[in-house]
Amino acid sequence: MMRNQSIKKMVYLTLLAAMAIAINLFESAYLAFMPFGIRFGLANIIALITIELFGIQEMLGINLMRVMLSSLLRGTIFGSTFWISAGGVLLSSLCLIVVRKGLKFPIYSTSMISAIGHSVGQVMVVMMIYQQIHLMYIIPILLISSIPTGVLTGMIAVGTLKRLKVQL
Amino acid sequence: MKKKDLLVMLGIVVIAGVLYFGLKLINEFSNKEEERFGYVYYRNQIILAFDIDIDKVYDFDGSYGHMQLEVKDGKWRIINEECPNHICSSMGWMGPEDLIPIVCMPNEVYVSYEGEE
Repeated sequence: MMRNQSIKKMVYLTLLAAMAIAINLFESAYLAFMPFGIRFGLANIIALITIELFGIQEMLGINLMRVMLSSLLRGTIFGSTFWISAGGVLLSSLCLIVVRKGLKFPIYSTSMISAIGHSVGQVMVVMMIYQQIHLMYIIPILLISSIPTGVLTGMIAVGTLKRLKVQL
Repeated sequence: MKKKDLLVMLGIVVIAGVLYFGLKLINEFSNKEEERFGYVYYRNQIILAFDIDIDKVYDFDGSYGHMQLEVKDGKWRIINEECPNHICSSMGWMGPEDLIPIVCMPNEVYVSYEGEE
């Protein structure tokens, strides 16, 4: 019985990770048309679902796996893009943990704040790599844009969790 | 959507506004230097410093060929460059409020403004 449970969990996590990677690749290929590098951050949906379904550890695992594997699939692993997305994912995971598990904010706020974490983390890494302090000017734009994208990802996550019958 | 969500949204908008105007103020403040210099870099080394308030045409060489930098009315541009695509001169006039440097890859040259000596 124990064994069954752990296998079930492993399959779930693997599926979630696969979905996160697929969404990530799809988004960077087809939804990268907006100015200032604004993106929907659809892979954040998976992070939200995972932290609700399982917990902090599993969410971190899936997020890191997503960054590793999707940059491996794109063939840019350990290049600058890898470090940029790693910075984004780390800060966004941190925001997710603090806001959702620590402060117990509702899911839409969590989604928005972790979207902010993602973009700010990326901008900070870019600022460090390329030594361009002027990139700070993009942060207000990214903050504003993370409201609609955060609400969108939050809505999708809430819809999914409802269908999975999780008590929010 | 709960009340807390709306509050968070409001908070984000306020923070973004404060950041935007704060950065704008800082930028304006730092532009009020008396001597304003721009620099021409060749392979990461400064080969030319120019006062943007003095109208002058400067000559220098890149890896690909000769180029000129025209400074006029606090703005500058690249002219008469020898390179395949002429991207640097098509960027046109740049001023201190433009944050992007003029870059010429074939010549390994970039022109950037840093605001202080």
